[in-house]
Amino acid sequence: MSETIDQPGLAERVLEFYDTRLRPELEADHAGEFVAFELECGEYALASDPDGAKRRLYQRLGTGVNSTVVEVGGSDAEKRAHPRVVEWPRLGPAESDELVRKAVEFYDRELKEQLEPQHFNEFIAIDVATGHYALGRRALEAFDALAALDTGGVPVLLRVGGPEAFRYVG
Amino acid sequence: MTRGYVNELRQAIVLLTVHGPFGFRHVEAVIDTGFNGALTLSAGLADRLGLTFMGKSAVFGATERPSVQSCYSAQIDWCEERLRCEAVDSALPRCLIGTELLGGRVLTIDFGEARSVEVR
Repeated sequence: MSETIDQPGLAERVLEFYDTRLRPELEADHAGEFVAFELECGEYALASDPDGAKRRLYQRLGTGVNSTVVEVGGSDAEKRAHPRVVEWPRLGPAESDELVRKAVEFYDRELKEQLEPQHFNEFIAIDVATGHYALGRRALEAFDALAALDTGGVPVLLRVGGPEAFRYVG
Repeated sequence: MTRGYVNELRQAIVLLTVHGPFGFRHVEAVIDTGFNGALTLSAGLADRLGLTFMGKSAVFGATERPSVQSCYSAQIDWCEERLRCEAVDSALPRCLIGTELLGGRVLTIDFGEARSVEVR
C-alpha cells in the first residue's frame, strides 16, 4: 500500500486501553481467549469465542453494549506487539464521517483508476489506517477478506465505481 | 418460500427472524426494491441482538449527500434457509429487505383483494 493515512483516534484509544488495563491482567492466564470490553466504563468479560465474550459483557452490563473484542495475546511476539481486534466499537457521527471521507479520498486517489476496469460494481472494504483493502462480490466477502488481513483498523465499505456501497432509491 | 401481506400503507411485509449473539427477534420487514443491499435494521436492533460490527459504509439515500452508516453481520432465516448477510443500521422503525436478498428469487406481490406477498 502506498501510504499511511491518519485515522481518528479510535484505534489508539482501543489499543491503549488494552495495553494499560487488560494486557497486564490477562495475558499470563488467558492467552488465546477473547476479551470484550467497554471503553467508556472499563468493564470487560472473557470467553473462548468473541460472541461468548460479548454475551457475558452484555449480561453483566445489561443494556447499551458498544463492545470492543480483542484476542488476548500470549507468548507470540507478533500478537503481543499487535493485538488482534476482532470487533471495533462503533464510532460517533463525526468520527464516522471523517473516516468515510478519508476512505473515499483514498479510493479516488489510489484505487479508482486501477480497479474500475476489472472490478466495477464490486464491494471494496478499505482500512484507512493502513491503506489495505479487499474486494468482494458481496459486502461481507469484502469485509471478511479485509479482516483476514488483520490490518488493525476500522473498515470502510465502498463500491468500485460508487463510491457509496448501498443505495436507496424511491 | 416466505409469505407475507400488503399492509394498509401498501407496503409488502414479510416476517423475518434475525439472530445474533444475544438471541433472536422476529421482525416484520418491508420489501424495498429500491434498496440494493440485503437488510437494514430498525433502530436499536443491532444493540439488542449484539450483532457484530463489521465497519462503516457510505449509503446514498433520499438526501443529496451519501450518509455514513454502521454495517453489521447478521444471521437471518429467509426462505427456509439460515443465511449470513450484511445489515445496515438505520433510524427507521422497520427493517427493510433489499434486492440483495431477492437475487435468484421470484417476488410476487398481489395488491388486489388477496393483499399477499410471496418470495420463492
